[in-house]
Amino acid sequence: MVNAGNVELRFQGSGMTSKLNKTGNIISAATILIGFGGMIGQLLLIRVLMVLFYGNELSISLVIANWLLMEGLGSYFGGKLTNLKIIKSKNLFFVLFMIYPFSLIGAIILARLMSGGFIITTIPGLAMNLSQMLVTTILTIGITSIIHGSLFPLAAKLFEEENKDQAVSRAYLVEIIGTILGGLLFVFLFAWQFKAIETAFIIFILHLIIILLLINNFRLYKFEKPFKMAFILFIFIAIILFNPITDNLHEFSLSRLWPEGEVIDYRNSIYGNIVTLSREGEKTVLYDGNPVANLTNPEISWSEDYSYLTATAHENPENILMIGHGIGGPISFLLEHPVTNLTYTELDPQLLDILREADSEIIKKEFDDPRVNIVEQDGRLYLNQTKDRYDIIKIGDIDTETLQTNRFYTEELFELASRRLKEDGMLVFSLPGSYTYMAGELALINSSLYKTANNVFANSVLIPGDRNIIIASDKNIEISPDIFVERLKERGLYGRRFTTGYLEFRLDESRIENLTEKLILTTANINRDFNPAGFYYGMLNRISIIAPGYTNFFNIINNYRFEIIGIAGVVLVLIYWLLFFKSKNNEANRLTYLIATTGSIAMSFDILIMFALQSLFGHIYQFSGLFIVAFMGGMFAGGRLTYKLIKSKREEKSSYILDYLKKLEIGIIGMLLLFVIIVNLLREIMLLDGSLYLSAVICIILAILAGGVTGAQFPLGTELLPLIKDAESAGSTAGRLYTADLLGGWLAGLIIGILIFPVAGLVITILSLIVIKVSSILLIYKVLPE
Amino acid sequence: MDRRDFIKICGLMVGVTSVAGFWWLRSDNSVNGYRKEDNMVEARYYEQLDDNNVRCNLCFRNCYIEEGRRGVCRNRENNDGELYNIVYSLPAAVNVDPIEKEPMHHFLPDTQILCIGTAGCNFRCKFCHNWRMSQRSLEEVRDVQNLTPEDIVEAAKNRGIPSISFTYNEPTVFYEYMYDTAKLAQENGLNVIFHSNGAMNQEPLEDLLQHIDGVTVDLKAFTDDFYNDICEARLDPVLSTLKTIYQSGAWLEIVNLVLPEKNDSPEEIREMSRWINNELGNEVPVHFNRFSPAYQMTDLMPTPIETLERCRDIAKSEGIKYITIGNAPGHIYNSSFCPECNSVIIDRTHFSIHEVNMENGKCGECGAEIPGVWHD
Repeated sequence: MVNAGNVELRFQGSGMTSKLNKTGNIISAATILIGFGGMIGQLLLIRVLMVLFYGNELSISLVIANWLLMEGLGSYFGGKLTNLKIIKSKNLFFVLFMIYPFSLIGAIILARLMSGGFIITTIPGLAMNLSQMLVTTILTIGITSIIHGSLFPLAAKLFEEENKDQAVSRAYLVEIIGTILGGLLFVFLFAWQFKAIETAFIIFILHLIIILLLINNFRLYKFEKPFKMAFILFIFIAIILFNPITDNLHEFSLSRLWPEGEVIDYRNSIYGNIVTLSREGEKTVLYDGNPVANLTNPEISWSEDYSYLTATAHENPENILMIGHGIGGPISFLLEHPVTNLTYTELDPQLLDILREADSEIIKKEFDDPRVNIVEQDGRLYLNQTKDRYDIIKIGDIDTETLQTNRFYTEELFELASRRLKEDGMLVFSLPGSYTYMAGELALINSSLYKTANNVFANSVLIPGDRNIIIASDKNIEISPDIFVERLKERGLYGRRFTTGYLEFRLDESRIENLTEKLILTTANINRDFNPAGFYYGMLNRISIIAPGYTNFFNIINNYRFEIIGIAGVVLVLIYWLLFFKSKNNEANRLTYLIATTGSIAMSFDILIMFALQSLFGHIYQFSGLFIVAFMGGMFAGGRLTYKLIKSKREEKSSYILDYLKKLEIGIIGMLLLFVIIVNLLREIMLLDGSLYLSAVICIILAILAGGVTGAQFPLGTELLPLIKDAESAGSTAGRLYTADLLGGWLAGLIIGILIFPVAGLVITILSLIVIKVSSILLIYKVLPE
Repeated sequence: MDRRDFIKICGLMVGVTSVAGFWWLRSDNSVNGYRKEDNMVEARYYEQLDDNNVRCNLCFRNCYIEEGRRGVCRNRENNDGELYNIVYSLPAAVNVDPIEKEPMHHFLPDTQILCIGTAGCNFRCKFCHNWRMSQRSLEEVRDVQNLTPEDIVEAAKNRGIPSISFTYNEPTVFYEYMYDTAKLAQENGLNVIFHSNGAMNQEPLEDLLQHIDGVTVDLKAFTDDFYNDICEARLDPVLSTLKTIYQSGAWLEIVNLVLPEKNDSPEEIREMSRWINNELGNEVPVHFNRFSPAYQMTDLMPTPIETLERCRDIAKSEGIKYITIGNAPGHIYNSSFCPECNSVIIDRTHFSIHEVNMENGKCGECGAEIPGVWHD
């Protein structure tokens, strides 16, 4: 008799093989789910936490870095746990595998509760400070990722028990498959189709299915096959369709997050989270947790001021391009001027859908006005592609705090804008500002962008305010109160708010001169795509709010970056020498270091290629998804190739492993150099109105190659380590090297993303990575004496 | 080399690097070229205690300040047992604004004020618009000017500005500078107003009010919870200050920034309005201002207009006569209305005055007396 669900050993030989294959398949399925659940869990928690954390690069880096760090710790402990005698690895794996989805659901709810004042002392509506962000990420991500991190070495151990041959490599490759699937499905399905808790429940269901198969396979008890399948299907359908649990949890957690209003609409677009709150007749739209529009009574105090000053600064503003943050006032106030055509670009179509449904007269007019042409596209991409020429290009209230938004304020963007402006056209943008003050980080961000505009345009003017307005043009810009009064009278717009008195206050000459002089005297770098000084200063501005005690630290890094890099380099070289040349038995350390540095470079590639994509092409969601697939696919392909290679050379001496590691090391350096060359070439192509799609294909190929060289090393490392370190089991090997890989990624995520790249630019960053890689090559080549 | 040796050497390297870095990067004492020591003046309203410690008696905090340390406001420093105001003559902001921006609506409408502010504050409001000055020390602000009281008065007179205002940050924390400038300004025929969080102690306040013509006070909420959680302060001192100002005869106006869910409950607004009516008088103008995200309060939705209108209705039902809605340009209640005949006495949009329908301090329509400080 054969029970198909739990194969009885009635047939020797083939039956045993059949059982082993069955076990192997289920372990593979479980490992795929580890990758799948881990990728989705990470992306999910990033999204949830971005709503709480203001969503800038600092907070994104903090979240990713903490995930990697905790995952690394989990992997380390998981590796240690595989050597324990008192508990079987498979039982431990089983327990942790069961707990993981619960920890994910718990993390989502806990994050929202903490934002509402649970555990940490904070108030709803208040931006969390850095310490609170750290505590929140540690408590939410920490537990989840430690559990998840420990699963990989345990899975590797199970692979080893099933078949010793290249157990860790096989586990690694299988997990990558899951990671790729998870990334794809999240990007193209889960992110915008399901709420966070619903997605977490789906992960739970999948874990439940695998758990049942594991129970079945490990012979704890039996199911008749049809009954088993029906049971599984029933649970799946019941929980997805009749899910008061998920709905209740979802609503409960949201009510703690936003007690000041009733959540009347909640949706996830592919770009972010959009919530509509209602309170006393007012509906406010929050985008990733930040209020962006009032649907009933738009907040016009600033938007009217900005639009009027912009339009009045131009003698005849007929054709206007507005990029972002236009609906709900800004467009309306521009249209009061003699505008014949207004093109508005908005990236997120779901946001536009919500705004269309608003019951505000102002917003309705903006959508219905025949002069308005709404383009659902990234603003920079639109600028790349359009052949129109404008009187005014106005950038909405977008700050420079992320690498993505900083793209709108770089020299390259300004050059592009200048080619899309008419001869007397103007570029107008706003920045964090003050009527009264211009120093410190405020002066840095304003000075940087003011000087960047001056680099491209012949004239720039600053109008100070709660947000500073900068107007740039090749033509002379006249902003005297008299001229503005005259123009407003001609347009029939004088009176109400914009009177002589108001304009004399708003355009006070001495105030403008005083603050402009301070701008000019401030030493700030030009903001460029691959030297994003504006991003760094924007981050500094944010740090001065959420972590004022650290402002000095980041200021010092900015002011003394080369000296600090030099000193850090000397200290690291010293530590490097001590660690690898003065300590005994260091060969395993060298290999671990090699994997760690490759992990750093893989993460750096991840950040830099994605950033290059967005800088060159704008924010295109599908490209981001393709990039994830390309990079992870490259890693899988590279890993698979080396896996095959190892298998084919099984009978040879193991010296080939070292040879291939050396070649890959050189290959990684080559990739880094190639990356710099290609990205700069592509930028020239794009600036010359070259083909978008060709450039995108080149980037995707770059991503595949980068993933390939970095992914190929891990199987080689896992094959070499047991040869260096006797009696190193698959679990320990996986734990050690996976930890190194993750910690390398953690360090890169933290330092490359928010420090080295913004402060030193792309070339210095790549050079630093090359130096790091050279350091590991030297270890492998043993050039320096032991 | 074993692990212990390795750790020792690493520790030594880190220590040496830190000391060298600290020595190399130590900050200099000067602020924008001005040495703090050359400008500071001895503070008023403090007492010397044992061991060179002092107690500042200027505001409700009554800070106990050890030698070499500063009070919560960051502006009062204990040097060898004497307390000094370190921002005297070092304003961080000097600007000309319309008086409506204070807001002060019943005091010489449609005129300009010369506004002065420094670093520091004795509150920690999470929604402060001037946080770059108020939540910073003098050294952190860095960009200051050197303007004596004489310089300020001369600047106002030269530009024909009728009033000087101490605003942006809490003027209590630069008391001596404010006091000396106010006294001199009045001697020169200028008006003096200030914008305060209302937390000054009675004695220094009464002393100051001799030289003050008008005060705008932020009554941020009517619960201690709000003051404690969001401003790290207390309500009672503010209520005492309001009474003192009112009794002094200086013109008083009150601002309440309405934050959704934080201080906008009908019960709280009613209680506040009732208190103002009973303790101060129903002719004290009250401004309900719309909140918009600022500083650390970035995730809170702006105040619904209906909420502001509700607050106004409640205050009116409790007898308050002059109520405006601010930070909502174009709203009908940007303007001031006669409480007797309900006609517009000052037609206003945001900071812009369109028409003043008054004569000799009386309503242009019905002749009702409108309290305030009006043009001759």
